[in-house]
Amino acid sequence: MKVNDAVAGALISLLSLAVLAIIKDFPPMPGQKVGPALYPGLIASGLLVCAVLLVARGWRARHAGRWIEFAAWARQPRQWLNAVAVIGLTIAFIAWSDKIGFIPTGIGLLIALFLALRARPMTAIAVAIVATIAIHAVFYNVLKVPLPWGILMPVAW
Amino acid sequence: MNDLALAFGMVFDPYVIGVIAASSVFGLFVGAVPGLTATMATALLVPVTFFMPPVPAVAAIVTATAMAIFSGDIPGALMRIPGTPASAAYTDEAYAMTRNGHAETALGAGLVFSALGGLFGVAVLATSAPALAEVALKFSSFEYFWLVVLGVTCAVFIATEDPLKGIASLLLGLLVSTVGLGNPAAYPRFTFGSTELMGGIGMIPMMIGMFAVSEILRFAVSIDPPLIVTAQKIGNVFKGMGAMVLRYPVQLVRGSAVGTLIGALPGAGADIAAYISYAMSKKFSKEPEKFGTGHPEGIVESGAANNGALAGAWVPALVFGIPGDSITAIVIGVLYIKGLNPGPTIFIDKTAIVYAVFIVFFLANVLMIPFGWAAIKAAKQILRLPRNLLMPIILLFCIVGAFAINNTVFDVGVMLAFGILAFVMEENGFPIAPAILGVVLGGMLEENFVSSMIKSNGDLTAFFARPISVALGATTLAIWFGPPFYRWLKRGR
Repeated sequence: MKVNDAVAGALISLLSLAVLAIIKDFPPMPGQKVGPALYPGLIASGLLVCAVLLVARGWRARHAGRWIEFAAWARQPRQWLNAVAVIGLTIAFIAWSDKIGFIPTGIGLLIALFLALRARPMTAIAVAIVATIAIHAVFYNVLKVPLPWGILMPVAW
Repeated sequence: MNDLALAFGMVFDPYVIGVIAASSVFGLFVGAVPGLTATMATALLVPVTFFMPPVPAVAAIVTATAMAIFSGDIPGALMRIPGTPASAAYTDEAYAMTRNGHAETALGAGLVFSALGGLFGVAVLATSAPALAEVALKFSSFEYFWLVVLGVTCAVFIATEDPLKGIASLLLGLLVSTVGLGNPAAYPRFTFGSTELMGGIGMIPMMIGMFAVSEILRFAVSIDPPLIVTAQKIGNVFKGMGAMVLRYPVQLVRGSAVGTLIGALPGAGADIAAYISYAMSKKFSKEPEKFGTGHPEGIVESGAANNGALAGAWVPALVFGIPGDSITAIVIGVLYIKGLNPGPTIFIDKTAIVYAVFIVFFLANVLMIPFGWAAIKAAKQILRLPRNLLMPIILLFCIVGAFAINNTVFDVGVMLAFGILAFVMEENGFPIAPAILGVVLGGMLEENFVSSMIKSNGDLTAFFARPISVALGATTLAIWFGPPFYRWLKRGR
């Protein structure tokens, strides 16, 4: 999905204006001319200049294309579903892994994503279990990362 | 001399050798699978190296990246799809050779000249970095300020097609670096009351997001047909390589030298080195008409260049803490975690470890020959691995890796956010490399800017008061204002 430079520029200008608004409240460094606001202020001003130039460039090119152009993939519902699956499943992991535990969430994430990417169901289940347990073994047992057990706590190994 | 003996002892330790062997296999695999890059290999390795002592940690990254840059040639030659962007410059050429029945020569040239280019780069790294460090010891905050500005300038103007979007990307990166307490006034900026943001945005989760999650997203939305491996028997890859070295010595040296130099420029890495070297090879060739038809000359030159660039990128990274490419941008983060703060003093305080890095680099490029040969033999099996199973597993690995740094899912969120951001930016023609450079160098830029301002009491002319800072400053300004001034002069006539 490609947006016209003017759209990108407008978004960037909003960001830089927000930064400029926030840094107004930063206190100066006692006894110094330069405070914590100076550096982000310079960056945001630079960004604002870029944003204005992008808007100007996009405006000049407005007849050359649409405001938002959908690349070949972006016209396929299937591809959108895949992207949503990657993002949504990661968010689900963030939300639930602590409560449910790494192994069940990991297996669930893999099975769902395998199926979205059109793997065969039996393969998906088998590979998901093996891969999750292997990753768990490397990080939990070898590298000592405290991955949450969640509901599997009673049978933790 | 004592340090050198110590360094050999550090590297030739069974554990370190084991790490090097395992990272070689990992690097060759990642490089050979289209869609997985050498930078991604580094980002995936970081959570694992996090738990290692400094020498094996650095050894893992050095070996994996060197191997990955070579093995990117394999799918290029066999399927016309580069395994990593660094092989893209000569993929058509290598594939043309395969179609003419010379797959082994294409792969052999890729392998042998990758190793030779890499060794050249290591030699330059080992000789120039300590010498540069001597000079850098005399640098004050003014020189460092200009050095960083010059670095990001190179990244924007040399390494990107669209300087305006490059600058915007760089500034976004710099802005990200301002989040948190890590500024000269230790004032919490843009933390929005979050304690997790106090320490700034985690560099490693962010890199995993930008280099790995964005690739997974790209794979998830791709509508490319499944990969098809050209069924062809691959003969002895080393046949005729000796003759090729004798036939193209100038190309080898030129490719290695140009590659190393481009690698050392901030922001430009192995992929740009390969493109420039391939173009240069064609321009200076006695038979340019053969390029594109399955002629090994360009592969010799650009194959050496991309591996030379890898070592070249370490020169500014070790001496100044300024990354030469995206891989060293991640490496600098690792060095800080390991207490090996890059800068000229590392050559005095941690001499043995620096030597150990050089030895590992050397070893990686020598080991590339047998390991690379094995990878070529196993190529068909590697390329047949279904990517719709591989990519989700990599995603889970990324999630755990981001989690492992601080044991918090907040970092998984950071990873995801920057993964999506990188994906959207690239879709819209905003280059990623300047943003990464901005994030890595932002803190250093502010620190040197603010301490220079305090030293000079706000007087900007002080930035041009010392001889080296004048030279660096003038070069930077020339790159910024030279081209528009030149255009104005031409229009005036």
